[in-house]
Amino acid sequence: MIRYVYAHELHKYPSLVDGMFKDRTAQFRDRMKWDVSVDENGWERDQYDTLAPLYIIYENADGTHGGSGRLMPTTGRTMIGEHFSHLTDGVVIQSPTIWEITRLCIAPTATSRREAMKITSSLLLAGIDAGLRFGLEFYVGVFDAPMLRVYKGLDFTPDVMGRSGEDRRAICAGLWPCTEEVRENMARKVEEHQDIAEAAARLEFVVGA
Amino acid sequence: MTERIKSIIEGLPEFRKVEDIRLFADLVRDVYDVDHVVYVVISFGGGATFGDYQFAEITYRADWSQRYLEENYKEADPTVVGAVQSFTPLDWKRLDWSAKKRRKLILEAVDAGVGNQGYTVPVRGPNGQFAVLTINKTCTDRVWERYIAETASDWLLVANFIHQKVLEIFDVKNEQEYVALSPRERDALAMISSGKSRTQIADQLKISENTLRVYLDSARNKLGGLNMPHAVAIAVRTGIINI
Repeated sequence: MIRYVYAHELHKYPSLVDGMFKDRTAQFRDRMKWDVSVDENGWERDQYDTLAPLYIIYENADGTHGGSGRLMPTTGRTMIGEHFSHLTDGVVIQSPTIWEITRLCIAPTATSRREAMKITSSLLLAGIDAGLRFGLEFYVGVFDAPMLRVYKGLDFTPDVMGRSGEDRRAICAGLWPCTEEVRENMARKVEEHQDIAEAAARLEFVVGA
Repeated sequence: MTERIKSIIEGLPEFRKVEDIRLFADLVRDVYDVDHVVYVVISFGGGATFGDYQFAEITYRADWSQRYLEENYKEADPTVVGAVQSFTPLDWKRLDWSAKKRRKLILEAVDAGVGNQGYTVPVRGPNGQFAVLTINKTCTDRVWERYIAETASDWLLVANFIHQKVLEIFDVKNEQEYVALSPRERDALAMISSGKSRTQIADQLKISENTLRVYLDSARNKLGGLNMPHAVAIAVRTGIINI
C-alpha cells in the first residue's frame, strides 16, 4: 500500500522509515555508487530531508519498505536547481505549480522485475494523484540514464531537458506533465489505483493535534 | 482558471503601500466569489520563530479576529498547525477537527461569518519566510469539491504572488540572492512576446514544448507575473526584454 508521510510524522512509522533510509543507502551508495552521506544508523539522508518534504512510501504486505520517493516544491531549495541547472540550459526551475521528485528508490528485496515495476508505478501514480489534488502542472527530477528505460517500460516517459555523461552513467534532468490524462494512463496499470486516490484525497488528515 | 486570473490582473492595485494588500485581498474575494480572504505572514525570516503574527490582512469581522486572539486559537487551529508542518495546501474539510478546542473553534468561526469550507495555502521563502493564504466559502461539500478542483492551481499562484508583493512592500531582501533570469529564459520570453507560437519557439530552441513551458513558467514566477502575458508585460516594462 501507499503511504503519504510528511517529514514531521516520520517517527510514527519507525521500521518503515528505517527501511526507507537504509534502502536508499543500498540503492544510491552501494548500487549506483553515488557520493552520498550515510549516518551512523546506516541511513542515507541529505540536506533536503531536513526541509520538510513529503514522502511517498510503498509499504509491502509484511509492513516493510518496498520503495519510496520524496516531493518538494520548486519555490524552495531543490536538487535540480542547486546542482543540476547545467542540465536545464542554465534555467533554475522555480514555480509554485512545479514540484521536484527525488530519491526514487526501490528496496533490494524487490526480486523480480515485475515487482519492481509494480512498486515504481504505484509510487509514480501516487505522485501524480497528490499533484493533481493540489493543482500542479509539472514534476521535474534528476535520474540516471537506465531509469529512462524503466519509465519507457511504464509508458511514463519524461521529456529529457538535458543530460550529461556517457551511456549508462549519464545523468538526466526530466519533466513529467501532471494531468488527468497521465493519471488515467498510469491508473490502468496499477491495481491499487483506487486506494492511492483515496490516500491522496485525505492527505492532510494527519495534521497533529 | 485563466479567466479569473485575467480579472485579477486587470484589477491589480499598485502595490506601493501596505493598504494595497487589503485592496488585493478584496479583489481576490470578489473575483473568486469566496466569503473571506486571509493573508498572514507568520515570519519574515532571518531566524524569527513561530510566534506573533508579523503582518496580517484579514477580511474577517473585527470581533472574530479579536476573539481568535483572546482565545489563542492559533495554538489549536489545525490550519495553522498544518501549514507549519507541511508545504502542501490544506483543505479544512480533511483536517482533524475532533479535539475539543478545535470543535469549539470551528463552531464559533462559522457563527462569526467564516465560511464552513476553507483552503489554506502555505508559502515559504528561502530565508525562512513563512506565510499562509486562506480562503473560505459557505457551500455544500459537493459544490466545494468541484470549486477546489477548478481553482487549486490558481491558489498556488495567488498565494505565491501576494507573498512576493508583501516582501517587496516591506522591502524584505532574500538572503539567497534573487534568482536572475537565465539567457534561455530571456530568449524564450522575447520570442513569446514577438508573437511566435510555442511550437515554433520549441523548434528553434531545440527543446520540447513541455520543456519550453517549464522554462517559461519559471520565468513567469521570477518576474512576479500571474500568467504569461502579465509576465511579458513586466519584462518589457522593466527592460528585461526589448520589443
